[in-house]
Amino acid sequence: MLFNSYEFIFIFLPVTLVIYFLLNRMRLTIASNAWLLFTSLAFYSWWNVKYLPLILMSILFNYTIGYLLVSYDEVKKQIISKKGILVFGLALNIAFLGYFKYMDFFIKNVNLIFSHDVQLLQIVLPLGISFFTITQIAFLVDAYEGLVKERNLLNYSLFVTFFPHLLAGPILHHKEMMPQFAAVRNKVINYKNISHGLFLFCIGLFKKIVIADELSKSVKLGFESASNLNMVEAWVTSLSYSFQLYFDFSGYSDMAIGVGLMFNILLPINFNSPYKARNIIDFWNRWHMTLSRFIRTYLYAPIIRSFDNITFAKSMFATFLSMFIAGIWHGAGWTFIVWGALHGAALVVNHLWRKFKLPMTGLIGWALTFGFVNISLVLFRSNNMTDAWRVLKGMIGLNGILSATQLSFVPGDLGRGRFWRELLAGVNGNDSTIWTLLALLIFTLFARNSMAAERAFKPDLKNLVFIAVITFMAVINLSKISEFLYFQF
Amino acid sequence: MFKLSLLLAITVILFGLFNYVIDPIWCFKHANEFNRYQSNIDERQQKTNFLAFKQNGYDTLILGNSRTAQINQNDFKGMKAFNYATAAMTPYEYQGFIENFKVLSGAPKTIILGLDFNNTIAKKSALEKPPAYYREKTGESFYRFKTLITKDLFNYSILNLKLKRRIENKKFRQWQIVYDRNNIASLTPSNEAVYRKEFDKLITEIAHVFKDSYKYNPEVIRIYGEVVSGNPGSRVIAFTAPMSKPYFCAATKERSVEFEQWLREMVATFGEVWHFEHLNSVAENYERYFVDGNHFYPEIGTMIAHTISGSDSTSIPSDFGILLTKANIDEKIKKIRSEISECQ
Repeated sequence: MLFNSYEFIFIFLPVTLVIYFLLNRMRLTIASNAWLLFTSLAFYSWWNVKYLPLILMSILFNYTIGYLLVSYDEVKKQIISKKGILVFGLALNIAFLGYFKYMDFFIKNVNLIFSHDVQLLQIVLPLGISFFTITQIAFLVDAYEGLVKERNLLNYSLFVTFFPHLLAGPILHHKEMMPQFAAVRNKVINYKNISHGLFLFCIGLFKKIVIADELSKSVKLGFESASNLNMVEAWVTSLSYSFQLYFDFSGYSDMAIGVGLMFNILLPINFNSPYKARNIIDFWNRWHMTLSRFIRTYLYAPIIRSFDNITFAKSMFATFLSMFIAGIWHGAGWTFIVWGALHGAALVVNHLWRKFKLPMTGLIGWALTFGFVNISLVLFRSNNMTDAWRVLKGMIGLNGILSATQLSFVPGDLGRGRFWRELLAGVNGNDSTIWTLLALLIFTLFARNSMAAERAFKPDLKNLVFIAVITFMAVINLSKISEFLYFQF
Repeated sequence: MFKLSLLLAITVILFGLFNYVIDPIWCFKHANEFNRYQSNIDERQQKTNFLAFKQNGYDTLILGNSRTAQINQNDFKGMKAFNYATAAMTPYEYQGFIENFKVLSGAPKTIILGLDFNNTIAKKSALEKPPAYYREKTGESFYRFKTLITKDLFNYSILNLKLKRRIENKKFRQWQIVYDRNNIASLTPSNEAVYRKEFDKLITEIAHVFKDSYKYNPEVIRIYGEVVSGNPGSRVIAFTAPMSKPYFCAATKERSVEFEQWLREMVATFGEVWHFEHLNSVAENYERYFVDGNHFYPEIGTMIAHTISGSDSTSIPSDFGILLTKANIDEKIKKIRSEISECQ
């Protein structure tokens, strides 16, 4: 089920909320947690109930491993070492993720390298597998480190499957979640949280439906006709994707955090105006923040700890390797691997810049950071390296600056609608395309982000009208009815 | 929060109510002054919705492209027909729409196929949605009510109101197919200047298509055969849709061999074919009977329906329509060849 669906907004969420707080009001707190677990699994199964056993197996397996780790010291005679249990648990989680996410990618490359013709398995990627797997990996590592006390299966299952975060994060840490699920004060309905949560949810819905989904049209056209894009079209395509991804992902996070808040559960912030970042280190402190936290705690720190003595060079190696792995986690393709490597390299360069105290003004830093992120996202979106190169080629002007039908350009053309329609024909754009991108850039740079807006939110008339308008616009765009286009006469 | 919910609810209800009154994609049964004229937004979805939500229980199914869509389904004597023809329908879609009809209205006793020579260059488009898509949409939970609160439907509702205003003020520019609430199509004409320009452009395009890049697609006859063999409980009646003389000449002048092949293969497949796609007084008098070089006015559709269903009608020109059979195909082909030679 998606947050941006009629079923979720008008049926699932209200019913889940009402019954949850009703059960709590009757002091049936275990039943209310069980209800949340049940609805979270129903939320997951809405996509395809065939994959429900997979997530259940993953939960049971990791709960068992976690239990063995947490209770390790209580058992006098152990057959396997604590580290052995952890390695076993991690290996199976990685194998689980590897099979579903990377098997076909692996087969494709083996076929390429060794000129084989092994058939692809056409494995369907279970929804949310990357998220619930790394959430549980983090739990196992913490259980090994003695940072976990949780032994209750219901609470553990709820931690993994709590539906606001289940499909696309934020990536939760048990330390911040378990106390919230247990806290008695959270069992009582809090109308302030409901209104703040609704506020955030509506903003997220608007960002996803009205902004991101609209941008996706020109992005799709641009990437599909990548070979023919002129320079302006190529930049419109890449910038549109940069904004689409930001508004889509941050919008989803807003909705997740908003829904969590309605249940009195504070989910961690995931985006903090990343496009305001003036360097790449700052960018990763603002973009997908819970992933950055995971990378630092469970990739970078263990890599660093594996060295006998820590030097700057080794920490840079750890930085690069962590981002390289993060790139792989994002997707099964060379584009993701290269994207991760590029960001790893950029982080290293940023650290070197700081180490040698080289100058960098805020504006140049911002331009370099935003430009780098925008260009690297072309890889993120492309199906393969060839497609990525096609768009990048367009961006550096190798396909020409004007469209093929435009033979010349004078400054006066800039004010003519026809000029822009011809120039941006490949992305079905016009002059308002440019103004829209400019407006989005100004908005992301200078406006308050949704989390700051939520902190300042007061349920007054102004906000009432604002929320009503953006929610209305989002709801009426939830589904599309397209005209039939003649493909043949 | 209560005030917000109330404000939102009232706005959404009023918005939905407006769309409900106009009902541009035919999900509801009501008819009123405001929804009298309906644009052909997506006939595939509109007509599927009609069958799913408005009326079914038909015993005859009509399929074809936009030309066949002009035929009044009520003009077939002795048949309760549903005109499921849509713009640019290709033979590749026939069986899918037959399945839709079977699910929504029951197996048809009769299937009437409106064919034309353009079918022989039809290709299966990867961009087309399969017919089942439209039927599955009608089965989605709360489909009709969800669509009422969409911006797209609102835009189509406004489109229909503008269409109503144009028709009532008789302000026509470009011809358009217009439906009523009972799936009956009519045409609004183009103004003279647009008619001339579009007519010449169409004839030039057709001549180019059938001259330069044309390749006879043998799959089309196979598909016709599958309609017959795949529906053993249904009687299949095939007809070729009339064309204006310039259009007919542009299509057949360079392709007389393929045209002949197509006619012969159709007769072999169907046993007999009602052939209206030839030179006759309707084709010659095209400025009266065709809104462009290609789409005939509904009165011609009535003539076709009456001819096929054996209705007595004195208004049908005696030279309009030939019944091609296995017995007479050779003789009729000779006449058709001489018609094509008139085009030289």
